[in-house]
Amino acid sequence: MITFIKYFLLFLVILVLQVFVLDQAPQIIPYARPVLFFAFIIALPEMYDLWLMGIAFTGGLLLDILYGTPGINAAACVLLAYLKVPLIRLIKKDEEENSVPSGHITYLGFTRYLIYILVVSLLFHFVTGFLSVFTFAQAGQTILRAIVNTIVSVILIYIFEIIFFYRRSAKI
Amino acid sequence: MGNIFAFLLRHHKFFVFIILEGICFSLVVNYNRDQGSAFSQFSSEVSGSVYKSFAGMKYYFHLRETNDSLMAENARLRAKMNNALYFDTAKTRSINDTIFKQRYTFIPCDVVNNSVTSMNNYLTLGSGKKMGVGKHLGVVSTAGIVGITRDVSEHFSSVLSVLHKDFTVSAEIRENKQIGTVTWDGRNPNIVVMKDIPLNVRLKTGMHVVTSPFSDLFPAGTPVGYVVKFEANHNDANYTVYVWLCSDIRNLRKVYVVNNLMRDEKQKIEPGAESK
Repeated sequence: MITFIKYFLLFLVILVLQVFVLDQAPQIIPYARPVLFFAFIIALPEMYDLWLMGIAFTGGLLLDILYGTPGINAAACVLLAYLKVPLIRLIKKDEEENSVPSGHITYLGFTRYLIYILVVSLLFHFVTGFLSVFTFAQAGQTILRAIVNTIVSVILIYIFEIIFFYRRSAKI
Repeated sequence: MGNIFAFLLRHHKFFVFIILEGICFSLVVNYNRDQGSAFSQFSSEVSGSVYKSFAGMKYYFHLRETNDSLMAENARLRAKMNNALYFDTAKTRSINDTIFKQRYTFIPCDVVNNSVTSMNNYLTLGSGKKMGVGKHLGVVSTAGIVGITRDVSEHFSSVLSVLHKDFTVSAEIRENKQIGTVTWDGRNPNIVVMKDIPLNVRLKTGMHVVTSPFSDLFPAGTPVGYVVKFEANHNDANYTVYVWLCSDIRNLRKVYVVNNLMRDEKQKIEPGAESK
């Protein structure tokens, strides 16, 4: 129960940060839209995949309702939730074959964690980018935007992860 | 059935993922104006092309009915055209002369059917009893003789062509007044055969052959053709003369039926004589 409240509070913090801070901040780099939101999927502990997808769907839909774009963020979040465990299995260190996969920096290490969130945020920005323009006509520009957004988002999430989840020991 | 459930259970994550993404996609296209219009445009394009090709296939299967209806319409339109109507206002042309009594009248007719390729060839004329065409009358074109009317209905008449094995006409060679009989041997539709020219007559190619005064059917001197070849037939001491026809039977369009006003009078005083 305590875990649930902890993660629910975390979700609220991320949502507030996203909607009321990051989205209101002046654009420093053109095109760039810093997205911290999907960090809550990364942050969620190991759990049954269906639950993870359900939570991702609900959270994404909540953000969509705030943005007035039903479905776009929800679709991206469900995709991230579905691919979370397979991605970690792909990226994790070889010697930790039988350990519980976790998407945290303490478990994966600095470099692997960077690769992990790079892939995740690229996926997220590709999906949201193409869903919101809904055409492949100007694919080049959409991809460029996705890449710029990814760079900004990765920096943000990395800082966020270090602040909230980094422990010196391997224990989470 | 059990296998299906097992399969669904094994891949339940993937199916839940697909269902959730499907819900997201339906939300995107249903509640976002730009995406919705783009999606409906795309889907209408796809469905439009599918329906178009399907309609093309359906059209192909209905070609027979379409053809039939078009043909029926064509027939209706053709029946309204001028050449489908029968003009019975045309007048018989005759020459009124105070010195000469009228002997022949000419009835202008259109050729509506024609054949030259068989052994017995016929023409059909677009004039019948109503126009004064009777049985057994001569038919001439502007160039020469064509045939003899055989059967006559109200509006049409059938003509026994020169190119018929039963056709005979009395003819003469204009240059030396030798009379013979013209028939057709069934070979060349441009050449008829003239018989009964005795061997003592001097013949040359290019001599003119015209109908003789013996004929009831044609006015005397109506062109038949000209001599292209002659062979001496020593069995009966006659020539076989090959005559190139003046009328091109193949391409006849307009002909005249020759009405001999004095034929009955002549035949009355010729006991047992068949008209030639």
